[in-house]
Amino acid sequence: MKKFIFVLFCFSLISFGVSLVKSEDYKNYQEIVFDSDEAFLLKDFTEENYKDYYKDLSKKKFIGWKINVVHANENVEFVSETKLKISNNGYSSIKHNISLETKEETNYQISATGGIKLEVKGDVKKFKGKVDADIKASISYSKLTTNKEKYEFEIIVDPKTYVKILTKGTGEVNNGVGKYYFFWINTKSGGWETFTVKTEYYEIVKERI
Amino acid sequence: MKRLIFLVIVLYIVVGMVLIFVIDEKKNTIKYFTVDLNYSRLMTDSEKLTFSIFFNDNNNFLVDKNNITSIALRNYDTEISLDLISFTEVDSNLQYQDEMYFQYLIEVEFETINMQGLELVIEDAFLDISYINSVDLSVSVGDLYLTFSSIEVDNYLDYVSLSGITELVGGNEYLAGVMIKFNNLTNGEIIVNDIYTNNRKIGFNLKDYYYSDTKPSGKISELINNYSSLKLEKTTVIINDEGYYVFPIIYLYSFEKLFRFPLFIEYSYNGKTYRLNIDDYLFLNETVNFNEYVGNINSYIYQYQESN
Repeated sequence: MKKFIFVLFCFSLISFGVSLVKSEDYKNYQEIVFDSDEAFLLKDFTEENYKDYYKDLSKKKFIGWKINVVHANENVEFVSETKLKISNNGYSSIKHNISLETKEETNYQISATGGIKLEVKGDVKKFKGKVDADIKASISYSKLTTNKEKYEFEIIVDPKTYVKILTKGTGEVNNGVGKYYFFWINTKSGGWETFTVKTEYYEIVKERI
Repeated sequence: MKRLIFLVIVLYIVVGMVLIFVIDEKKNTIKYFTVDLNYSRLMTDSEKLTFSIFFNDNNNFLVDKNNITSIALRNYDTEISLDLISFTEVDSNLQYQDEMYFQYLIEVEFETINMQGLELVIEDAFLDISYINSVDLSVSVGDLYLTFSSIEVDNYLDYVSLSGITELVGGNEYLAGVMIKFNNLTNGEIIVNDIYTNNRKIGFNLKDYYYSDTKPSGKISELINNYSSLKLEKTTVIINDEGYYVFPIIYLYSFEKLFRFPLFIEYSYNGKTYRLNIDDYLFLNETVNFNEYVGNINSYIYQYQESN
């Protein structure tokens, strides 16, 4: 009997799978399109771009960061990753309870290059050191919120079918470069970027396996 | 001796000054606020509801679950008691009118009363929270439309794609239509007789829908030219499960921010009528600055009594 239950349990694990995308990174989104033709992401900055943008920061400072905002409040549309995928390999329909939560780290994401580093405090990523406050001040950052209600949704998954939840949305990108001066000597420099999700649209899709 | 007395006096003054600067003055008020929302839900077995309250202080008796003795929802003609599941801080540093707030999520359920099959409508609802020290908070939460039912396997009709279509009205984005691709599980004809939700402020126009073999995108006015002048008109639709339908949402009073609601699709197959229940689906979610939501925000102040 125990063997039978064990086999049944293994079978249920094989026939029914849920995969959840754990943490989102906008750099992995399927698509990010700027409204403006002139704007682009930090990962697309060329060496030439960096040289140009650093030129604006050539006036030396006694101590601290100097920030150059290259693209400010640029609107984007994006297609995100699949949020959730449930597959039913079995021979009868199953009822599944989907539970999703809106995460702070998805709404406001950041990235950096060179001498600008990131640090993670709890669930929140920030630029390491005083540059975080300097960047936030230069882009007039104010923390936004979203409905944090736990989202529960019951769905029927037919046999040999998978259900997935996809998101697309709109957001805002700020990026630029920064230089750190210590006794008028430039000791660090790098690029930074913030990505703020403004609206997320959810789509549910059921497909045959 | 004189020197010793002088030193003691100086020490008293220094300690007194340090205490004045170091010890925080106890706040004698707590500011808190709620945002009115539409809670349109299909309440399946032991499903919970959550409400948010924002406090400008996270170290007071109001935010301690252990101090709460009862919690209820009410409006002018309905009152229903709830079971408190949790009262949790979920966010901080939220700015509203030049002050920082902490967000608390209150999770409740209707476990003590058998609600199965009930349609509960509580418009202009208040959440009443009673505390152990006889303090009562009553905060506005918005409109509740709750259908206590279940999701069952439907043998005749299903959907393979579901999402929302929006419209920009006066610079704000509103949900304006539902895009659905059906799956006819029979070999026969399925006729949709009606599509509706439990939110009494909206309805679906079944006469002026948009249909396309390919997945539509864009705003609803790009798909249905005269969207803004549509009325709530119904007709039957023989479904074609090869393509995508967009059924326009008609706001019966004025445009409102809607993110989530269930769908009920009434259809006929072989001369009999059935209903496909779709759980309250999250069509969209917005990231907002509270200062843009001022019209929907209810602000309150709790004043400590002398004995506190």
